[in-house]
Parts: sequence; C-alpha cells; structure tokens
Amino acid sequence: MEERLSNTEKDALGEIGAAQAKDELEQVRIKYLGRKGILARFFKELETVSGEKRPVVGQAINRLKKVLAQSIKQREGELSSKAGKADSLGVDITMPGADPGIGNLHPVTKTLNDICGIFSHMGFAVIEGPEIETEFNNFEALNIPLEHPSRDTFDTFYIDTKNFDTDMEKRRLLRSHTSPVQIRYMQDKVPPFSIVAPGKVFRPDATDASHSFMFYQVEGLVVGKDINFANLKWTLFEFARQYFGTSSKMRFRPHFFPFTEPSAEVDISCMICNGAGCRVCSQSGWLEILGAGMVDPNVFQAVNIDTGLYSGFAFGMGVERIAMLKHGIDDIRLLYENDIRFLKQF
Amino acid sequence: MKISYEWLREYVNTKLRAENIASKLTMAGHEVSAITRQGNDFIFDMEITPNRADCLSHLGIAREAAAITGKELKVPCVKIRKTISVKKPLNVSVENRQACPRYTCRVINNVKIAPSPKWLVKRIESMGLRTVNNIVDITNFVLFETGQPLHAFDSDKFSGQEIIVRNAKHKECITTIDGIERKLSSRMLVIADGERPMAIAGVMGGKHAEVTEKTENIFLESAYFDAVSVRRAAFNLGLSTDSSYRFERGVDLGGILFASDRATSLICDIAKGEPCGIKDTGIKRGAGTKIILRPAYLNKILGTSLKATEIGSILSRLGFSVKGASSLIVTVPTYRNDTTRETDLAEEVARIYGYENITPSPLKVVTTTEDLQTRDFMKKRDITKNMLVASGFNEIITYSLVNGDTIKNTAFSGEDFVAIKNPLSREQNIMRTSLLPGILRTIAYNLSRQAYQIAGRQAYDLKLFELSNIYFQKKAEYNEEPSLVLAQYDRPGKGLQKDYSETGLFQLKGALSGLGKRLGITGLVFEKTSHPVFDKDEAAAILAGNIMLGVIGRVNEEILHSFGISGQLFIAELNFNMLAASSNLKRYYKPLPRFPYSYRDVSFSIDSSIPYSELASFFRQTGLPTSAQAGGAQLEKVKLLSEYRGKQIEKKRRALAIRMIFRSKKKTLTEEEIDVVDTAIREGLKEKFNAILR
Repeated sequence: MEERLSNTEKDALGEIGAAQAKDELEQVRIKYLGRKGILARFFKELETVSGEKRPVVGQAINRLKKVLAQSIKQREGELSSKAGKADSLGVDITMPGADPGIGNLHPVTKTLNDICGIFSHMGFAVIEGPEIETEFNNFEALNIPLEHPSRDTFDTFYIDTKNFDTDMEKRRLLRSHTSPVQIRYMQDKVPPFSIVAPGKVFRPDATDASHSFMFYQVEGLVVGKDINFANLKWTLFEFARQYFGTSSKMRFRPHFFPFTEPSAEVDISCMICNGAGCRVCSQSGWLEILGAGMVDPNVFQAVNIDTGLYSGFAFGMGVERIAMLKHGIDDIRLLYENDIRFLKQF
Repeated sequence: MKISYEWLREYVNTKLRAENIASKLTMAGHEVSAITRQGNDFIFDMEITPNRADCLSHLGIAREAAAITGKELKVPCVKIRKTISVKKPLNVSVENRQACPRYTCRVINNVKIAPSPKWLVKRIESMGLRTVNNIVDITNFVLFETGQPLHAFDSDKFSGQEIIVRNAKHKECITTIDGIERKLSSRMLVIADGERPMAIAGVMGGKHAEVTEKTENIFLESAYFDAVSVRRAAFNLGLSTDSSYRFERGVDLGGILFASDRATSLICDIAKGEPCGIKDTGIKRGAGTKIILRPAYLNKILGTSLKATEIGSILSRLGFSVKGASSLIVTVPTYRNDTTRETDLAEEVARIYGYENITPSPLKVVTTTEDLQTRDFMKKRDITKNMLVASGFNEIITYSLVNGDTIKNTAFSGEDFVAIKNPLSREQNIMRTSLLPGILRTIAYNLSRQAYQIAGRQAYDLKLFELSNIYFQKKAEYNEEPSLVLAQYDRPGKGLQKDYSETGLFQLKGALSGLGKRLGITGLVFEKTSHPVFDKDEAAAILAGNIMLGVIGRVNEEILHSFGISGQLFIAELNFNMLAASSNLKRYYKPLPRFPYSYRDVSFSIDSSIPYSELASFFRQTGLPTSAQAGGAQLEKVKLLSEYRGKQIEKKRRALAIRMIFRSKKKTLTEEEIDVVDTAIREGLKEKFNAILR
C-alpha cells in the first residue's frame, strides 16, 4: 500500500503541475481529494489494514492529503495570477504619476536663502534695512563724499522730494547698495558682531543681458577686536567652498572702494571652463563675484566706533550674478520676466 | 585707460611678456581688462580706480611695474636749452586761488608747426588719438607720459602778454576747439586774456587761441586745477576730456614743472622753438605728508607677520621714503595724494606683497543673532512662502519701479506714491503702491508666451505669488511695507460645471485659509465687500477679528481687458505686516480622541440669501447640547460637501449637503445618542431657516 501511495503522490503532483486552467485543476482535485476520490478510497482501505500497521499507514495517507491540498492551492494561485494578467495586462508603471501641483520659490530667493544660510551657520545674523535711504547712509557715512569721482560708480535714483535742490537734509534716494545697512547697524550696536544684509538695490543702468536697474545684494560685516584681512580671506574662501563646491578657486585682487581699506575684488574660477578660459569669463578663467575689504577708519568714525579698539571687514556680492553663474543663466532679464517655464526649472 | 606695452618698457626694463606684466598689474590692483595687438605693440585696456590719479599715465604704471618686479624706474631726462629773454615779460594773475592753486606758463617763440615725427605719431595713435601737429601732439604725449594735462595757446591771439585765471562772467560764451559754442556759468574757471576766455580751465581749450599751422609763438600751460571745480564744470558742460578726467582725480602738484619742462624740451627739439622764461605762481610744492607706520598695526590689520625691513623695502620701491626701524616714518611722494593714513600704507604693502600671499586664517566666530522680533518676522515670511509653494503657487519677483500711468488707473489707488526724480524712462518713474499691476502683467505675459499649458484635469497651472515691498509717502515720511499677492488663473470656459470648491475663488480662499491655519491666525473671516479691481459679486475683505488683512476676489472684465487677459483670474492681496502681526506660532498639545467618531449627512434646500457662515454657527451651537457633558453625542466638525444651484431646484434657493461628525469624550456613541443631536439640527434647520430637507 505504501508503494501505491507513493505512486499516487507522483501521479497527482504531475497532474496538478500540468493543469493549465482552474477547471482542469478542479478535476484533478476531485479525482484525488473528492468525496469519492482516490484518497477517500485509501481511507476506506485503511479499515482493512492490520492493527499495528494502521497508524503508520493512516499518517502516510494524511500526509499525502496535506501535500496535495497545499500543492493544489499553490497551483491555483499561480493560475489565478496568470489569469489576471491575461485579463488586464497588470499595472503599467511607466504611466506618469499624478502631479502634486507644487509651486516653486523664485531662483533669486533660493540663492539668497542659500547665501544667507551659509553665513547664518557661521554665526552671522541676517539683518535687513530700508530701500529708501538718506544720502548720509548711502554715501557720506560710507566715505563717499559729494562731488568726488568715487561717486561715479554709484549712479543713483533719487526720490522726487520737495525743494530737491535746496533741502539736502530731506533728500532721499533708492539705496544703490546694501552697505547702508552696515551704517544703521553700527550706529545701533556695540561690537563685536557679524551680520549679513540681503536686499534689493537700485541703479539707473539701462537694462540689457547683464544689467538691471533693480537687483539684489548681500552685504556682510564683521567687527571685533582682532579682525584682519586673513580672516576675511578665510571667510570668503569658506563661503565659496560651500556655495560653489570644493573644486572652485577664489582669488583676491587689490581694488578701491571708498568704504574699505585695504580693498579687494574677489574672483571665482570660471565654472563654465574650469578656469581654462572661455567666452563667459572673457578668456581669463576668472569671474568677478564680489567686493570686499577692511572697514575704512572713516566709516568707523562716522558711526562712532573706536578705531583704536576695533577693526572689521565687509563684503558685498550681487545675487543675480551668483545665481546666473551657478545655473548658467545668460540673461539677467529672465529673472524678472517671470516666465513660469523658467521659474519651474530651479 | 590705454597703456602701450612698448611705450611702458621705455621706463621700466622688464623682459616680461605683455600678458605676464598685465597679469602682474591686475594682481596689484590695476586691472588689465583686455589686451589688443597693434603691430609690434600691445595695448592694455586698464581700469584705474578713482583713487589712483597717479596711474593715469605711462610713467605712473611704469612705477607700479617697477615696484612689482623690483626693476628700476627710468624717468626721462629733461634738457632745456638756455632760455632767451624777452622785452615784455608775461604776466599771470590768478583771481581764484582756491580753484587754481598753481599755474605755470612758459613762453616759447618761433615754433615751426609741422607734422609730428613718425615715432610721435605712433605714440599718439596708440592712445586712440589722431595726430594734429607737432605742438598739440607733444602736449598730448606728455599728458599720457606723465599724467599732467598741458595746454598750448597761440600767444599771438592774446590781447597782451597777460593771462588771467578767473571765473567766467555771467552769460559768457566760448567756442571750444571741437567747434561747439558753450555757455559758461560763473562757477566755471576760465583762462582768459583781457578780452575773452581762451580755455575752460582743465576741461578744453578755445578755438580762438588754438595752435594752428600759422602759429609762431605759444604759451604752454601746466597747472593744478582743483578737482571739484573741474568736475563741476565738466559735468555741467556734459564734457569729459582726458584733461578733465585727470584733474578731477587730482594731478601731482610736484610734477607740474617736470611736465612743462619735458614738453618744452620736446618742442625745442621737434618744433625748433625758442624757450623763454617760465612764469610759476601759487603753491610751489606740496610738502610730503609724513605718516607713522607701526609694523605691529599693519600685521594686525592684515593678519601677516612682515618685518619692518620688508615693509620699508616695498614702500621705497613705490617711491615712499622710509625712516626709522620699529616705527616707520614714511614720507608720501606728492603724486600719491590718495595716501594719507596708516591704513592706506598697509594697503600699499599688502598690494605689492600680494594678496595671494596672505594666508587665510579662521574667523574667531563673533556669533550674532537677530533680535527676536526680526527673527519672528523672517520666520513667518519663510513659512508663508514655503506654505504657498506647497499649495502650488510659484513665486515671482517684479520690479519695484513702475509706470506712473498704471497708478493713475483708479483701481490701483496711489495718491501718496513715491516718484523718482531721475527715472530711466516713463516705464519706471514711480515706486509701486500695490503688487497687483505687476502680477497682472506677469499673468498676461505668461499667457501671451503660451507659457501656461492646459493639461488634462489640472485646472490651475498658473498660480503665482509675490511677497515684496510696496512704497508710500506721507508728507516727508517714506514708508515701505511688505505686501503679499496671490493669483490663480483659470482658463476661459472652465469652472462652470464644477463643484463650488473647485472654482478659482474657493481654491484661492482655501489656500489662504490653509496659510492662516499654519500661521496660527485665529478668527480669519471673509466678508463681502466691493473693490475696484474685482467683480462686484465676487469680492471679499479678509479679516482677522477686527483687523483688515486684505482683499480677495475675481478680477473684473474691465481690468482683465486692459491687461489683455482672457479667462478667469482670482487674486488676493494682503498687508503682510498685518498678517504677520495676527499670526501666532505657539502651539499646545490637545489630547487625541479616545473613542471613534460617527457621521451623518444632511441635505436640504434653503433660501440663497442665507450665508453658509450663519448655518455653520447654528450647527456649532445646536451641536453642543448639555447632554454632551454627560458623555452624549457632540458635533465635532461640520463639513460642507457640496452646493447646488440650478434647474433641479426652486428659484432663489440652493441645495446644500453637509456632513456632521459626532463624537463623545466618554464612550463609543450609539445610534440613539447621535439621533438626539441630529434631530435637533434637522428640526432647527426647518424652523429657523425654512429649510426643505431632502
């Protein structure tokens, strides 16, 4: 009987595996496991088996019953998933997902956030100031005297105030740089401190691919007892490393700004050609991105900070230029046209 | 400014190639922005900073090159043949000493006017000028060589042997050598004879006494004119010349005679002139300023450890004379009028030592924090922007300067606008008083460029916002305050068959309510109002309690038309300071409910004039019966499911479906317990609102 059982198992498993449809499988099930099926007959036969062998054979039949039931169930699963596929071809995961409809921040805002974020983490406070300023804060306090050629680089929009030509005290202008925020802060606070001042500035430049009459700057100022030019270099190198990446190089060139001494223009290695020289960097391999220097003693005097006790550095960068370099934008006007296809790219 | 490489090498003996010397100059603060090949020569295009008047010449740049490379500077030697004496000596009277601290004039007779020799023509042309004649070319040559502007007059055109340096007279005119007649003002300095002005001091000479081929005798002027006076004259005349450019930046008081002698010697050589005496009036020589330079101070400012000897050596190469060992006593040469302080000397040393040689040193952090009010404001601004982005809005930034005509449109009220005195154009002549025109223009721009694509069921691709300043004037006070504008565009014909919550107005309201919730603004309500920009039936004021935050509505046809927009546009504009002030970011934890909720829906029709807000407060009141305290059902939330108006319902009525969510704080509710509250609400709807339940 054991032999017949093992033959039956072989046959049954073969037939289960060969069943290609559910009804075929059902026939197999009835043949073996049905009420009048083969296994039922084995159970009947069991009554005829002698007493001592009976439990062993009984267990064998039960085991076979379990094995077949399980095997049929498994085959059923296989067939039904096959059948499902035949009906609907399953999910096409290559179809597009639903648009969650999320908007985007303006690239200038993102750049400002990135720049200010880097300095925030270095311990700088983010300070803002007004866009409509006094001549004193925008010029005189920054050591830019009236009727001096150093003012030529600071073409400025003036507000149409009453008695514009005679009432100099009440003259107002649109700040031509964010440096007046330095003045306001220093008039108010006792050193040491380190701040960055992001904001809009205005200059009457005719608009073209690289000029805009409105743009953003980020100003930085650190004042303390032992602040030096080497610290300035370190700070801006660190900024460049974080913002432009470790492969970027930075160089300081002597320059002149009325409000710093010594002053520097700071270039970053051109990210288009990696410093080899290309059209964007006029073959020089370098792109100017900011101005910096040690705060001029005249500026400290204008805000009553003791030059014997304190020194400091300041820097200022054009946000659009930095955004344009980083993202390869070749026309500043794109930033203020607000074409949604452009805005969604960043 | 142009510098010729070949010419430069006459004064400094360097074998460096043009691009190498250019790069060294750039790294010492004299940026060479372009190099152009011109025959065998290279012309540098240089950007000289306004403080370095001394570098506006070949000798000046040569001095820098010599200091950088450690080579010797070769100053041309000047020989003047024995001067001849004249019967009637020249008389110079300077009436305005402040504007003309020094005036020198040499008389040179019997000059032979002729074309310049080849070498001179080459020099003049390398500077981008055209050769005129030997005398004019020599004065220009010396200007580009020394930086000192010179002027040669035809002395026979003067009424006598007299030069008067005075302010122009009222309504006085002069025809300058460019042939233009110019009206002078009494604040301008002129060089005159007894009768008429012969030149505008430091700016341009006059036609009358111009050196021509007929000239025989000349006056050669070499002077120091005050920077502000020249700057003002040049500005008022709208005339910038090589001469005025240098005077404005300050010429070398100590170099005036040298330039005059150099030109004289060339004129004698080339034009065979006979030099007579020189008349020299005013300050003879600026006493060299002395500055004490402490090496310790210099090293502290720069973060270097330079020795006094190194510092002294660098300064000497630049022409400063240095004495002393620990504290250096530095005498500033007359051409370096920009150097007046210890810190200026520190820059000189750093410049030549090389910024690249200063080792970066970590900043000892001076941790600074914003005051809490500022921090809080910035945080709320960030939350607002991020929240709107998450709600599908794209941030835009538009110009703060707008066309004044836009503001005249009454819709964008702007009586107290700020006007620009010197606008670039009419397009940007006032400061905006609202963000509306900017966002309307941006919508129109995007539509006209087909930037907005209609894709399937996504109805609101064009959702924009701006959070920026607007500007006002109150008497002499100027205010700028942040404003927030949101716009949601819906394409034409869309939205008619939609559920109310899918229409632009309610989508926008939903975005604002979501923002309000995130900002913790309590009591945010929308009240019908009228507004010139919006359709009269679809405009509302946005309030937080009693505080007016802004407006929301559907932009009316007239405005849409004027901006060339077709479709539906919904806009909200809010005063961001008010919004931030109404916001409260504090949050307290509320225990989570312990028992399940149940809900019932109620549908009814009701008179259209009854606002939903009235129904909502009725639901809230009736939904909280006294039995709730004992653990009975309590209406936790009311949710408007849909609104229907139309053919299926009587006129002037609308059908509403509302879901009521019930919960008890003490147990799982039974149907009977819910019935108590549900029935009260249904009965109340019938009695109080004449609702017909469906």
